[in-house]
Amino acid sequence: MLPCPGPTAKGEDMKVETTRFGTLDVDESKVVRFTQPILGFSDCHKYIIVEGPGDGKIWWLQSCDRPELAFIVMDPLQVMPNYEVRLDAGEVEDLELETAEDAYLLTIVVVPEDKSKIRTNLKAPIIYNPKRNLAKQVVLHESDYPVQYFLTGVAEEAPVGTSGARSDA
Amino acid sequence: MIGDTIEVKVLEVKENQVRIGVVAPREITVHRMEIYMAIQRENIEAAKAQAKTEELQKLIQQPLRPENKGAKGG
Repeated sequence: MLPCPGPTAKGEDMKVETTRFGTLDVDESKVVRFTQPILGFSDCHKYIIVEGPGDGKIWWLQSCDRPELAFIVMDPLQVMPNYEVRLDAGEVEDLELETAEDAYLLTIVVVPEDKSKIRTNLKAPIIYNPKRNLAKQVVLHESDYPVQYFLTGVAEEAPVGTSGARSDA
Repeated sequence: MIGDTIEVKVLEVKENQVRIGVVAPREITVHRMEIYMAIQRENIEAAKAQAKTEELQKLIQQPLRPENKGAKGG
């Protein structure tokens, strides 16, 4: 399930080569075009959203240009219900947003080797307009949201003696 | 390009080092530049450091951290 209503128009079928999911048959109308590339990936403008495990908590943003490139993304409202994004006029225009309700938020998740450092970037969310299938990673200069928001809480809070392995007594 | 004014390029990627080049007009503050760089680094980190689907499954079975309301303010 997508984080939002998907596009309704039917386009042509196309094939997207991916390292992680093999070759995907994708309706062309489902391709999300980034009006500006994700920072650091200037050669990639087109992505598709692939459902991750766990009933709509996590998705993959799979590049159509580079088979090996896929970002894990989540809905930031899951961890911060009052998370708020203010877009400037240029961004609204860029994404062809007509109402605020058309904008969906996704934040990029980093899952490093050390799982206690799993985190998401609240400073630079991806704004997605499913009606136009346009998206953009914006930088919230005016807000104090962190680039690294730790999801486990371990890195910022008092150390707890428990680690990954648990035994139920 | 960022906002038509800043150009960020990855010049070189080594094992655990990324060299980034930036072309920006003078009025962009150093502070903003640092944020762009941090975001770019984080994006690169996100793209290379990934769990397998099974691992992810396990991770999200744990409740995600709720908002820390007691966080100290500036």
